[in-house]
Amino acid sequence: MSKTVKDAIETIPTDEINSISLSLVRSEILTKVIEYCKKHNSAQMSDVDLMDWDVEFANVHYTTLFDLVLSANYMNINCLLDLVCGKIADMIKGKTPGEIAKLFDIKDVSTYEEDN
Amino acid sequence: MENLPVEVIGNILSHLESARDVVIASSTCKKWREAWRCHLHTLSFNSCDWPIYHELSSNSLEILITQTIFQTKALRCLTISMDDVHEFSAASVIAWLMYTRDTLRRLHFYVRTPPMFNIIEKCGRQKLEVLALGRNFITRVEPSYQKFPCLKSLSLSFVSISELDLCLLLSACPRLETLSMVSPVIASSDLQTSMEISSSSLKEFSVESFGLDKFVLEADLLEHLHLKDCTFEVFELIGKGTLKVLKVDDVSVIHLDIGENADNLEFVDISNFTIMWPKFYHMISKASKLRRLRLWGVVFEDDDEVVDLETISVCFPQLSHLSLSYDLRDGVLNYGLQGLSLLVNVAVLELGWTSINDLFATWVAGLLERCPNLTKLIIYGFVSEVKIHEECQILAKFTEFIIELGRKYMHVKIEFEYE
Repeated sequence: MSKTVKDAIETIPTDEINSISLSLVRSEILTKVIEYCKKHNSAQMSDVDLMDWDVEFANVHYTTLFDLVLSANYMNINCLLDLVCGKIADMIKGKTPGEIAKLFDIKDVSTYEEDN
Repeated sequence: MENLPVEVIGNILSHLESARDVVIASSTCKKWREAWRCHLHTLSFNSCDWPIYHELSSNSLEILITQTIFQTKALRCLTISMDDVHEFSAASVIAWLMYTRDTLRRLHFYVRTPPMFNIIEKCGRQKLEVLALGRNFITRVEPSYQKFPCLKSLSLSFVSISELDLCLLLSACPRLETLSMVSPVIASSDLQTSMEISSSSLKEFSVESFGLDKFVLEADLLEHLHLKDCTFEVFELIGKGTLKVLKVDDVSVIHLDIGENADNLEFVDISNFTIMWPKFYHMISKASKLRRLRLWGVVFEDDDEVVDLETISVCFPQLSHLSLSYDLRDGVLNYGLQGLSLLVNVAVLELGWTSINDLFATWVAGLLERCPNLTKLIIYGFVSEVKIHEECQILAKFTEFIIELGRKYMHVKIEFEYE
């Protein structure tokens, strides 16, 4: 499911593989990513149940969401990336820029005129 | 948030889709502005998203859309969908299509355009994978230089096109897998009574709200065929036996011919249709791999015809999901339930009534007996607004009966859906 891992497996000769370096991913987040991949690979749940499971999975604090996005981006797992980006987009929808900045604790808020 | 790369922000903004939401969110900070300008891949102008779209004139909308699109760089997916009131000028549409031509993969365009504007000519053809048009005109197709080498999905809603141009268009799409037509307007000089189209790559075909005397589809790889709200005298599929899913909903067709294509059928869904059972059965009888059969709101042409479970269990041994809803008469119970063979693989049973009577309960019981490995039973009922006393009594009796059945078949999960 992870293109990064798949590419690593394909490029490193098999007798040299001991570990694949995923230095940018914290262990708690990696656990969640593995949980996601296992669930989606198991094919035990129906599509509808899997969608419900995804909604629950993505129902976490935004800092965890950001970590998941970074990991999914780094590990190149497109379906997880879509799920988490979609969830963050839902949080943004309908809010003013000020509200978004406050929600995500964005410090570098500059006005439109400053850039143009 | 500071750690997120700008491309990822672009991805997040793309999930917002609606142009208004994206523009508002992008003004949050400098990084987000850069994300929206350089890394946004999906943008949508849909009259459902923002009520103000209705109030703007077509001209103002064109300016708004132009200004917005021209601030982006790498759009891959563009949706423009306005209501019937608006019509966009050729110049604006051409500008948008030319601007996005190098990167656009998916285009959904549901807005009226002038009759002489041939939108196909202006689409960036090289990369386009999904093209959905609505309320436009395709006035001429030149397959020699208008090819869509990557197009996988084509959808035409209320689009005016001649039969010849449709055939030419299909031949210009060598990788087309899905074709969907809703209320096509077949432009022709004479009264068009028949049509024949073919595609060697097509896997899914659906047509809705259409009527002709004769429609012939030649598609050797076809797996899904959906007909909805159509009127044909003859509908013929010429293929190589790859059909997996057949869905017919609210269709009037005298002669439905899927040829020798039934062998791989997995799902047959027929609703709101008048069936001549022997003929229909003959059509699907070779579908030994059938997993799902749904006959919903069907009427049998001959009063004596019934769906008999014996035939179903013998011909479709792999059936796992059976859905039946039609008028029950005494004959149905006696003849339909006779026989001893069991539907061993049926795990889900859906049974429906439109007007409840005592026969229904007996029918449910009879079916439950024949499905030893059932895990789920769903009862679909229609409850009329004005309930006369007799109906209430029947419903009450039915409820008691189901409770008894539930006790007898404890392993079956019973659900109800009433409307």
